[in-house]
Amino acid sequence: MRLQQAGAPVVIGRSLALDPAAMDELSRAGDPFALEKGDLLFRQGGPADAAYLLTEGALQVATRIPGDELTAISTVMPGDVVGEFALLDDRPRSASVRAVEPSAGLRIPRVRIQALVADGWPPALALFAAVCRLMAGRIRQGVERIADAADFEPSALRRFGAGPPPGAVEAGDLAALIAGVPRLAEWTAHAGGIAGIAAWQHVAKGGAVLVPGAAPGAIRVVLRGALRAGIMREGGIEPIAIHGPGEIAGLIAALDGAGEPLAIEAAEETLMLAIPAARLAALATDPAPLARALMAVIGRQLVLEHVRANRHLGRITALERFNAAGEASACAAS
Amino acid sequence: MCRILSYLGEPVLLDHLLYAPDSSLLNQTISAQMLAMLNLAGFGMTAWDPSSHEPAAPFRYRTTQVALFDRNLKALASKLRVAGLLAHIRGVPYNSSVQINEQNVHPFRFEGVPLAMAHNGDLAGFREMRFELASHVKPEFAHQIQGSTDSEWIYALTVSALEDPYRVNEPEAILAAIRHALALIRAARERHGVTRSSSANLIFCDGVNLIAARFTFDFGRFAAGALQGSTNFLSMWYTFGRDYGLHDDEWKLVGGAQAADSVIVASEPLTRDFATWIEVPEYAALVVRSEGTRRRVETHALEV
Repeated sequence: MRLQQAGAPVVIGRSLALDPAAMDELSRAGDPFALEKGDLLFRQGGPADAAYLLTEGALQVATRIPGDELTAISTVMPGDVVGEFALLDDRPRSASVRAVEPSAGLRIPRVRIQALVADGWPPALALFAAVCRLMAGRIRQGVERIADAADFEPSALRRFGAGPPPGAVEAGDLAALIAGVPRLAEWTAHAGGIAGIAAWQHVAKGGAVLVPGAAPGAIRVVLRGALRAGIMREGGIEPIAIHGPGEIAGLIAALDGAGEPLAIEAAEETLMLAIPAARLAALATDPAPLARALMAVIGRQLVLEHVRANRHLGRITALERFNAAGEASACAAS
Repeated sequence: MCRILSYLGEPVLLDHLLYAPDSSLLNQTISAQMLAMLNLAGFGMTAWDPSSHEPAAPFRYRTTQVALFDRNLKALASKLRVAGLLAHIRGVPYNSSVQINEQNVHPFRFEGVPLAMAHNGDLAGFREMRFELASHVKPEFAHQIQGSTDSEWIYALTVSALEDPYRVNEPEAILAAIRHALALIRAARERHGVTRSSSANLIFCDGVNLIAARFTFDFGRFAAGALQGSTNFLSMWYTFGRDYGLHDDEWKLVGGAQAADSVIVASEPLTRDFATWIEVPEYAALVVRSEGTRRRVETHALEV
């Protein structure tokens, strides 16, 4: 586990995979932090205002589940980043992080990165894009853990893709459609530009939009209706998320370039925009206001997806324990 | 729009559920976390106390008063322990077309029927739809409908769909009746061309089993705006544990999931910190089933 002590020096923010010059410049935007063993870095439910790049020590990420039990999720090692959601959204912390060894590293506050992104400073744009990629990877891991969980509930499964597949429709009035959808507020000034890079699609209730393993093609922005994303099981899909108006589906594959991990279908009759993954790659580090408006919404969606995947995992774990206890006592009684 | 709180488990002081937590049901009257609205149109509860006279029969309390100011309720809550609870605060549009009276206060429960129900949501176009829905309500229940709410009709449709509504039914039978009622409403909405999303978050409890449905008709389909269920699916959360109370300065269920036996299901968490709360999935029902002295929690897809 402590390979870095045996030889190779720790690369700050290695898991972000940024080029060394950009990382070097970014390091100057951060402040050093140090923790004693046992110190809390941040608490679940607390405010999220910074990301942390660990250079030495080890941190444990844990979340509470019903029954007030603490479940360890992962260990953060030197070179890793933790709390990076904070750079994308101000949603409260979804886990607690505590030092399990004396630890140190760099704290990068959101307000500073937001200002640098707004200025179009290339290292900050690269960081934002790298955090999005990192988040996509973390969500993929969460989805894989859910898929591997043996204790899914057959009663919660639903038939998948019973309706006709999506089809192209005539372009609508995007500005009118996004008015009143709070999640897309940043797009109001860029409706024309966003419509210009997207295709309009309609899908009837039950229609399959993406199947697991599909090559990354396009992300889908829900304008009206809702998409359901879930894990394909024998017998149907286990829903993880409902994407209502203003939400985006298909982000994981589009950002990390691997196959689609989820099954996605129309939970309601849905009108959506398809934005090609290839366009997204070019826009990720583009300082233009249109690109920033697009990426801001994508960043928030990634944080939401991550929270949902973790909550789903927590639910599986907690329910399994709750119900297993019932079986045990029933056996004892008989 | 309203807020619901329900509980099944070890007997717990009513005050600890209704008043004590920092976002308790009564605090949600004026400052709900997940609803930008005041819930001033009444409070009601149906509760089961195993140590009371005829424990299978619940006691009821309904008032059109703003319950925060109700000293009688506060006094009762500090004396009564309940093993089952279905409580509701009613929130309605701020205008004089709404009828504020005791008949419209939830939970609903007909004479001799163990099952009680509370509703969070609003069926658009209900006043027009109800005449054709009437044929699906058993006559003995139709004449017991006393209020003017859509909610009481959802309850009447559901208990009418039960083969024997006068006994404690298995959760499967209650689920089937809920699906039947929602399907009738879905069909009526289509015939009437309703173009508004409508939420039907429903919690049913008979003191033995609890079924909580999180459902919205046509979620997200129509013009966004201030309408419920347009961009956010109406919330419903749950948590479980063994011992509900004040632990480490925080109201929560502790004791670990393994030893857990008590479940709270509510429109929103009762505490500002909702780390130990889980969302009921959208388009699904949470079933809390009693098996002997234990309880099981299950999720069931609602395909309507």
